[in-house]
Amino acid sequence: MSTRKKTILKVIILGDSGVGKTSLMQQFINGKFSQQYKATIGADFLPKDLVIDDKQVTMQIWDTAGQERFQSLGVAFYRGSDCCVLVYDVTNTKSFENLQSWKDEFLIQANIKDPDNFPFVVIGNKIDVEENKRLVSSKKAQSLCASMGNLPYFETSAKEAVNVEQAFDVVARNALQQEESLEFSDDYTDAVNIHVDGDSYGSCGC
Amino acid sequence: MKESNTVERIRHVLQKCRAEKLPELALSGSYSRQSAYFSRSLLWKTVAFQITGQLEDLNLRMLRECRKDYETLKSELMVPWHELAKDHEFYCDLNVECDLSDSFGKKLKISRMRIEHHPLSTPKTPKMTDIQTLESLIADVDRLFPQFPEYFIENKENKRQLIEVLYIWWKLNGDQYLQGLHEIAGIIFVVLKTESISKTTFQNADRRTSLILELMDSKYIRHDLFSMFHAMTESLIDLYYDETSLLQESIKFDLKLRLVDKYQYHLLKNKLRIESSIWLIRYLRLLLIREIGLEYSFDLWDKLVAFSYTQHPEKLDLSLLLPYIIILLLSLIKPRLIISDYGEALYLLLHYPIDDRNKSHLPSSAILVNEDAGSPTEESTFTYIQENHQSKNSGSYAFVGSNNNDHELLQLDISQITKDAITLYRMSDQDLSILGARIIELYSGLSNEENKEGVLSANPIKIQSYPLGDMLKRSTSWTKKSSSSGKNTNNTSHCNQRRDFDRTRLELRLRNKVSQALKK
Repeated sequence: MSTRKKTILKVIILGDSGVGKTSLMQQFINGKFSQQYKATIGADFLPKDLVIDDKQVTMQIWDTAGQERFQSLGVAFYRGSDCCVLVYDVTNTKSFENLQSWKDEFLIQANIKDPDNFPFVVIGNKIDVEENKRLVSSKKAQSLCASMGNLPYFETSAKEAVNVEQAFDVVARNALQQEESLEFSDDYTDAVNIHVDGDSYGSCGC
Repeated sequence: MKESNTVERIRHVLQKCRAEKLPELALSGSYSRQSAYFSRSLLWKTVAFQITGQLEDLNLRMLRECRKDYETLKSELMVPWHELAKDHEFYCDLNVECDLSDSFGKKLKISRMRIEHHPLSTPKTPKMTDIQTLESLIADVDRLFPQFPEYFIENKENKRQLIEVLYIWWKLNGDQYLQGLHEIAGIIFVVLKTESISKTTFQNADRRTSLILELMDSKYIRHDLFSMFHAMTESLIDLYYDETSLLQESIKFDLKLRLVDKYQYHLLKNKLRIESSIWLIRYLRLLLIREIGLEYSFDLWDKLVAFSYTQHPEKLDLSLLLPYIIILLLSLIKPRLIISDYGEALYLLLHYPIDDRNKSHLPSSAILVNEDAGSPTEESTFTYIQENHQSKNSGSYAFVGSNNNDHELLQLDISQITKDAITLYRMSDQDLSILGARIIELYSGLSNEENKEGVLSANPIKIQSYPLGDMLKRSTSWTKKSSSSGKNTNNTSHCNQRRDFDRTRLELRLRNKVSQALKK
């Protein structure tokens, strides 16, 4: 079996449909923006290798569908997360009001043992819009984040690559801290009787 | 003219053949995109509206009734365009006729009242209000098929029509509109629109021609879309759009996979620990649109529609073959899954490595449009994009593309894959685990072995055990590939691909193995 040991950070992005979750992920991972990303169905998944304070980590970012509130499927998506990013759209009041319920749902379904200390990061996206289209003020957002447990708050534009890097840097650091604080040995078993014929396959497989 | 060409194709086919025979012919491959007189719209409509007979006695009864029904629904379940913000792209004042065919203004208002205050209406406490649903429909249709912006993103009228149909469908059927349905409706819309005909361009049509014109009338795209969408999604919604049933279907899928490929099953389930519902949700809900892309989807849907008809002519069920097709697709990437860790495997599953022909071939398609249509319209663009790929698509078996790295992309032979899926569909569980497993091996190039201790392994199918010696001798190009370089690469690989059409899948796979070994 593979002996590679790398730190994997699972980050999950939640928020209402159309707030820009996919755009944020694409901007962070590929450094590009497209006007049209298809509606996410279920979830998407992209990995990114990072170095945080000389430590090699792989961040696995899960971009979820914003329209549906999953029940049992949510458990499958959220399980093992190290950080949860809550996204709203500064031009959409409803998406802002729903932040709390996304957080609650995550905590329930991800089965977080210590909810008070689990790292969340809140992102208000689409700050590139004209001032008069903006419906949620920074002040209002900051006070909500404070009331939700002093959550770090960023205002971003996935379109113009504003603050995305910075937000995900905090996400990564908080996720790493969370991951390191966990005892993961009890979770690790490899009792499955599968033998991959590495020699004969490896010689021509890759 | 494109429209008269459509009429010609349909006339030609219906003069020789009864409509109800078309699905069978589509399955056997003699009525497919490769045939000169193929009309996708005709095939799908035949199945959806149970059209029967030849041109003289064409039975369009159901089509006519469905169109009438939609007309009524449309007047009763009005889309609340007027409730949108006034500066919204789709805002429309109630008093202004925003729809050419809506000529009964007064009636509309009365009907609306009746619906909203129906004394017997069951208070389902819908999660979404009318306007919320409309807004979420707009948000989704606004970003539909970004790889083909001319379909919807740049075409406001198409968007409006699609939104209207989805809205009315939701009013009638759903507590909640679920994302993904818009994409299925989008595919049907594109098919209908591509071959629709405006009656006004044919002034003095004879009786037969006017039947064809009626069948393809562009005035009724929304009507036909509504009925077809309803029929095509009924079973999909039951099976995949409800979360509990989706989980059930995922379990059923796992069990089938276990029968035909125990190794793959354990790999995903126990070693990698990827819950199949995580990726199956998109595979199943969207009938693989995202995985295989639009081009392949059209071809695949031809087969799914036709197969459903041959099973139960009266009920359209596109889900029948789906699990088996997914198993085959999974087998094609088994060699890669085997050497992946959790993250790599999940990435592969959620970004199925398909050769996206849309992107790489758009420029040449555009040229073709000009050649043929004179004035390229949106419709003609996609017709010819499809036709442009006929030659490439005609026989290479699921053959792996030219670059031998992690990014190699698959091309699919939809016809072969559906044939094999039908074979699997018809097998008993016992057959699946023996004969089915054989088919699977051909796709993955790996065969499973289990020793006495119950340790499973998957090994490349051994070269000497193949009765392929002759074929290898006959093939001349399989060693060339690794030596080609620089400017010649394109030509050579193009050449190889042509040659590859004549080959068997085993040979292709072998060739890959050998060239990889040589490279090493």
